Amino acid sequence: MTRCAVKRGFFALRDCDDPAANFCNTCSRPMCFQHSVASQAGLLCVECNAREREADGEEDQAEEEYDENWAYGYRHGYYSGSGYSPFYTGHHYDHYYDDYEVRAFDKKEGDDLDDEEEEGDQGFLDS
Amino acid sequence: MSLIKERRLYNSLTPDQRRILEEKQIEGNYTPGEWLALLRQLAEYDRHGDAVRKVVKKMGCASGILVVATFIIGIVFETFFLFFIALIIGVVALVLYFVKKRSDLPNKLRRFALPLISILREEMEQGVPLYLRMDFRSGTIKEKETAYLGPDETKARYRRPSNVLKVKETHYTNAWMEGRARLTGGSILEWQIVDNTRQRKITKKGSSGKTKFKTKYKVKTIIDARLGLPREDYALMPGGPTAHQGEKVATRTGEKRNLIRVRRAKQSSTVDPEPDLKEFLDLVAGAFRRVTLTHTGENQL
Repeated sequence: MTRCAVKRGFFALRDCDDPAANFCNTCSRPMCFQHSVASQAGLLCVECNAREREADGEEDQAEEEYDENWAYGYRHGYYSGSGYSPFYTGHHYDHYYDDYEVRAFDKKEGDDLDDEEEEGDQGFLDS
Repeated sequence: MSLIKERRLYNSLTPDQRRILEEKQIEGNYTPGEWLALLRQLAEYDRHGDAVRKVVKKMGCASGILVVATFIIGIVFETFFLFFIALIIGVVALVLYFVKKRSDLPNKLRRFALPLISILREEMEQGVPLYLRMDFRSGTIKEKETAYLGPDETKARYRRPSNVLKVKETHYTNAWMEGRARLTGGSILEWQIVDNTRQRKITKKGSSGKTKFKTKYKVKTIIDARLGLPREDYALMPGGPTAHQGEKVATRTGEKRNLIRVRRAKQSSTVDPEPDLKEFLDLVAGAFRRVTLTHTGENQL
């Protein structure tokens, strides 16, 4: 099952991992229902929506709402403005976050394809 | 914006929300989602109330001018009908203003607490409670008074210009916010925000010989944040970034967690200053900048 590629968190990022419901019109990443926003550019992930709003020079969302869209918009603005490099503690890093100079764990054991060599050909079928 | 809409908003508040509005204090252990549900409506009511109060204030000022103008017109035309109308409007505006002011919550709720909870919600696992204690009462109420220096004591303690006749000094401590959040990955964030206020009531002789009174405030806001990060995932960086001006940092290695304590002091001359969300986040981010991940050879991807 395809999982949502949006990262939750503020000081440390982690995988959302909810089942994906759509694909972002801008970055093409899978996104869950919760992290999808309908905008003029179509269905976007909350992060692309925040980046587009910033690029368009739009004002911050109404302060009364303070919903997830606001939090993701604020997070993007904060990383860009303060130079803070968040930690990443998940398993599916993608280069979407390279702008933030994310500080990440090394790939954990079991994530590495090389580990599978030890298991030999077990489970593989001849072509 | 209308009084009717404000009334409607008030009627939609739950008994708990009305109690918070009345007592201006809240303490609890709820999930960030529950906190937001509880406080959002209050913030909306307060935002509306602020707008109503602004209009009522303008109405009061306008009616004050009208009272004087209609009084003069009344003397000229020997009829005081308009004067009484203006007077009634003025009195109603004044009463309304003070009634609204009583149910006002400081903007710290709307502009600091709510967005902070919204950010912490992203940083915490779903269903994990967030402890908060918030006191939105004024920072200069009797209950928060910690010291008083009468005119004689201030005279003995401070040198003062010859035209200053009397100085009374009162000190207040207002620990208005305290919180504890268990962040994802087992980190724990605790913080406290305290406003230490010095109020000086000064009586002095002006250059014209008149006696004048003035009240001056000096507020020192201290934000104290403590971050505990699991030792198995995070290691303290030797040295770490330089602390900002007015900032103190202490680190300690505990049995299970590395502890980082960051403290920042800021001065202002207004009572109950509104804290800056970004400054608070910078302080916590400053603590995160002092650690590195233990499972990594390279720090950045």
